[in-house]
Amino acid sequence: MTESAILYDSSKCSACKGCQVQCKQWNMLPSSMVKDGYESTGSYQSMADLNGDTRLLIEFREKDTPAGVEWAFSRRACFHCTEPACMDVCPVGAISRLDDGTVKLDSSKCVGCKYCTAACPFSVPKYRENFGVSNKCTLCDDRVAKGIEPACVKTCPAAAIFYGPRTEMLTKGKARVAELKVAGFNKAELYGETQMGGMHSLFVAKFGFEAHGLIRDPKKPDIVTLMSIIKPLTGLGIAAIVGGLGISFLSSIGYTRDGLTEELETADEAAKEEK
Amino acid sequence: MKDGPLTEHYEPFESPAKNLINGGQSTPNLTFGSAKSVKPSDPKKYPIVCTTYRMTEHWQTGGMTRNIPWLAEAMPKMFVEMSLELAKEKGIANGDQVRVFNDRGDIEMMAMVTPRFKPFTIDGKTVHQVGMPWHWGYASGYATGAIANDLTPNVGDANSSIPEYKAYLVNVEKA
Amino acid sequence: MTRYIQRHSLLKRWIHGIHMVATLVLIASGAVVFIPVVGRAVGSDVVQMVRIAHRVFAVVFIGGPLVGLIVAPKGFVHIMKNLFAKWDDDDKLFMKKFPRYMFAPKTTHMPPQHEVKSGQRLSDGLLLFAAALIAVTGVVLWAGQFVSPEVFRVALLLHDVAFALVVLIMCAHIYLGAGIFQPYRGLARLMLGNGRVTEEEARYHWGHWADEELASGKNVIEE
Repeated sequence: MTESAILYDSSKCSACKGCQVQCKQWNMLPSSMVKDGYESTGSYQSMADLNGDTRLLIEFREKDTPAGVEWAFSRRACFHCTEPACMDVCPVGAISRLDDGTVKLDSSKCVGCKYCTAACPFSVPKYRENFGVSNKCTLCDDRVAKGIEPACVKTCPAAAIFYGPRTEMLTKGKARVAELKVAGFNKAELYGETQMGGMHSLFVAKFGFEAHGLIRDPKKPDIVTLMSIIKPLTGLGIAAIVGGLGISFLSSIGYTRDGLTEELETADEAAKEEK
Repeated sequence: MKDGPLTEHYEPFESPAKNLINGGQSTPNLTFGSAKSVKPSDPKKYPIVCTTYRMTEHWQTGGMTRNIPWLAEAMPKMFVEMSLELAKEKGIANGDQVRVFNDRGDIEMMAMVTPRFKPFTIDGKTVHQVGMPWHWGYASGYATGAIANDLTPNVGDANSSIPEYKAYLVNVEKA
Repeated sequence: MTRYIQRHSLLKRWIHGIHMVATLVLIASGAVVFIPVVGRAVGSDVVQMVRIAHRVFAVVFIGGPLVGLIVAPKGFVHIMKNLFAKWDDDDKLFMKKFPRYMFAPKTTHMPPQHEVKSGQRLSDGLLLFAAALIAVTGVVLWAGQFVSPEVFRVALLLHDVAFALVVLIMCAHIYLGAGIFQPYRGLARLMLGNGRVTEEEARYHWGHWADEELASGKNVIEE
């Protein structure tokens, strides 16, 4: 099966948040119904980060430069990595990679241990308090299975989000970056080609990775790698100790305190006796 | 037509600047609402230009959109945007509660300090501009807030009576 | 007529027993999450129940010794005194001879020891450290979304390290303490039974302590 990907073009995005709201509607994720009980970030951004009820967030970053203000919009959601750190640490195998590259977190299997949140270099999976499970963008695998595009792609009025075969999305993204450079946006670059083994959610960063809050060289946290070493090491250690104690047991069979054979005196004992 | 057909430059009913093109200041053919704003605001008392505009998350006065939790969450709070320079002058930090006021109204809201607003230099003087959305009100909704049109003048275009809500004068203070 | 010394009090044996059960349940339940193959094989419903059991017994694991500390603070001080006692020549000799004792016990007599053998002090000390580490990191993990991902990751790694330590030491602790090791056969009753050691056993294993106890007579029973 060919691998698919989403392509987000921050240079076409109007930050209308249609995708953010549509994702919630399609996945039946609630917003608070407490009057005036919403978070305020001091900017157009709706909330500080993704949460258990929000799988897609439009972020706003602004930087003043002599050439004008760089108002960088970002579509923050799961990047669907080819080498997902979350999948490595899930103790119940609730996270798997589908043939098309989607990294699927099956909430019906999730036990809410939050190891995935800790392992993700982007802290994307979030815990849903009332449900006791974690969740994240599913790349609308339910829609894709029926042959329709993800909800955010369908709803975007600025034609800034696309979905299709990954090779096509890569070509499209690179072409757009080239166009942007010609237009004078010389920091434009494409995110997701090789990061984390290659991502299935690509991002045309109009002002460069850092301006959009993207980690330039993301890696699985060292601790995840260390944990994967500790487990087999512990197994080895237990085997060694049990083996050693087994030998000790065998050597102790038939032991009686009075029947000890002639003992070789150690130097210390000889010295002690002399005192 | 009450005014026209040739174009002319007029300053808004309230303006901090002198009209350098036309012999007068603002159009003499303004229509007034029933609650007549008797005088234009004094630029010495209210030197800051104010404008109103829309957001994508809400529509008109927000009567419908602020009743939808998804949209209220997307854009919850009424705010006024201003330049870093004006904020520094008034001792306002991003997120602070501020008062925006003139002779018609006095409202409070969150300040959004941003480099996207920059001061103008008009006739050798620095003139500041602030802007606010007009989607909020108090009657209903999951998100409520101050009403921008408490500040706007009841002045209409001579021909169409469209109100001049996008250019008027205010002052700003930390609340 | 045999003379016995009451080596471990009723409170000590109860707290140890409760703590022991809690530890075994924690190791078994922890293993379900620690060993990925097991977690994935038993399915998420079972894992969820196991995780809840793990938290319940974690409270017992920490609570038991805490109760002991509150009810008998002098006993806690006594344990600490033994744990950090200065090592004399006999203590050092015990450790020197220990490898030979483990693998060729029929050729080895060990020197007389104080109330807690020097080797046990090392093992107990390390076990205490590992238990404290696992308890603290466990609480941090339980706090879950209230700590930052960075803190959570470190706690997770250290919890794994502490688990490895606990399990490895537990193997030796059980092998020796329960008397699977033939020279210690029968001594399990000291902590798991009535807590009494015969005069003969006491003199052989803990010579210096036996002399002190028999002289004072406080904990001596004749039957």
